[in-house]
Amino acid sequence: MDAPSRDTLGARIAEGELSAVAEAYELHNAAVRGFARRLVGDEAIAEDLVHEVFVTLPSAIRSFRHDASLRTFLISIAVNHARHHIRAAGRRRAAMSRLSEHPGPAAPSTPEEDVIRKRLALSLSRALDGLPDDQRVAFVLCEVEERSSNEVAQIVGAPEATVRTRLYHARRKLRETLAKELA
Amino acid sequence: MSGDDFERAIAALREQGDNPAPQARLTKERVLRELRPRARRRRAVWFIPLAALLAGSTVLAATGRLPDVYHAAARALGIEAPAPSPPAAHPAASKASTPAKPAATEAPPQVAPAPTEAPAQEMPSPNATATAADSAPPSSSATATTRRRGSKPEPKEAPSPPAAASVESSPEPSMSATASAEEDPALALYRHARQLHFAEQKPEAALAAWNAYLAADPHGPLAVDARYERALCLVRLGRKPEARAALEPFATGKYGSYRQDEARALLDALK
Repeated sequence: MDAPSRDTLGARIAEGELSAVAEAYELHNAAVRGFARRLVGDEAIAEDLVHEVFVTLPSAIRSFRHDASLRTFLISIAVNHARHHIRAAGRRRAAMSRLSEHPGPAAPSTPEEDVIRKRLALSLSRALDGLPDDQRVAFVLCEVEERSSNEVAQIVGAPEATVRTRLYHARRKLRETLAKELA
Repeated sequence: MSGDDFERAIAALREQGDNPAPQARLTKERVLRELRPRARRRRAVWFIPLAALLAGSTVLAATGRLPDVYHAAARALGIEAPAPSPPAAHPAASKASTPAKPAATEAPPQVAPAPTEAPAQEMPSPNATATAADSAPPSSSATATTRRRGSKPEPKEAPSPPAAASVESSPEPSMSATASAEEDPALALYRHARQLHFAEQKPEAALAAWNAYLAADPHGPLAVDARYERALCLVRLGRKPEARAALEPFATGKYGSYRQDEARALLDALK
């Protein structure tokens, strides 16, 4: 999307135009949802986070700096609203583990490789539950979404060096946790 | 753990985010539905002062006092020189012209020079403005001023319960009245249930609230979501047979793939 139309969309959202929010949703819901799913590791709770991001958008847009993209801005709203969703997803995962002997989402018809991938993703999500939120966000944005540390710094509103430090600690802890779990 | 496994786990999580989202449309509906009352309120902020102005000037024009008020305002603003005729004319002349309306006796001079001295009930225009504001919103400073100017605080203002106040019954929604009074009553019930369910974490109260919402709007766009959350309440309360019955339609795909995986997993766990 080019800059003028992006700015126009932002301005229309700020004016409370409902169709502009719908337009922003169409353009960016997939990116926000992808991030939300990777961050919380739970599809349903990620959907709640997506909902919250777009409901908050008209009031949050006042602080939108037009040098960033609207998509980056939406991701930063998601980061700011993620805390209780992360907790909820962690609780749900823990509850599912307690309730079920086989928490893996294996369906009988799923190919083996697919099942393994899902298990790995679930293990990583569980390991992410053990990280502080800022490290978790840094890891998901940098490693999973492959964003540059500069962009991540812009999203989380922290210096780039801080982001890199968080990432370093996150990677170290995750490796340890996963090694224990998969051993 | 090898670096390879770690990278595979990251790749798996990355892929998970890219899965299709059949519920995206439902989420969009939820977002727009939630934002709609706010958009109406924003429109009302512009509409109400204009409506009040229009109503006030219509009343003044109908009573033939618009020119008097205009001249009084012009004199107060210094646009017109103070005219000697109105003070002499107004007590008797206005009485003669409109004997049925005692309010007319206080007419022009008091209006503009000292608005705080003229109680609202004496002047048709502030009254009209206040009435318009009562039926709707105190969003603008203009309407707020007329309200403060009134001799008594209006007790009629927005005591109606959220369920009774529909969007249709109040053409211009109120800014100061609670949001729930303005919005769709079913949506208010939905919000309440979510509050109990997610924020307050009270499954028993949330269950009752979900039931109330579903009774009010059984086929609304949020009903499927409400049914699922209701099922979760039953799981949390340990009411297994009811929970199974509530989860079954999701697991069997009655609502497409919406929450299907979770419902299946929960049903497995409840066995």
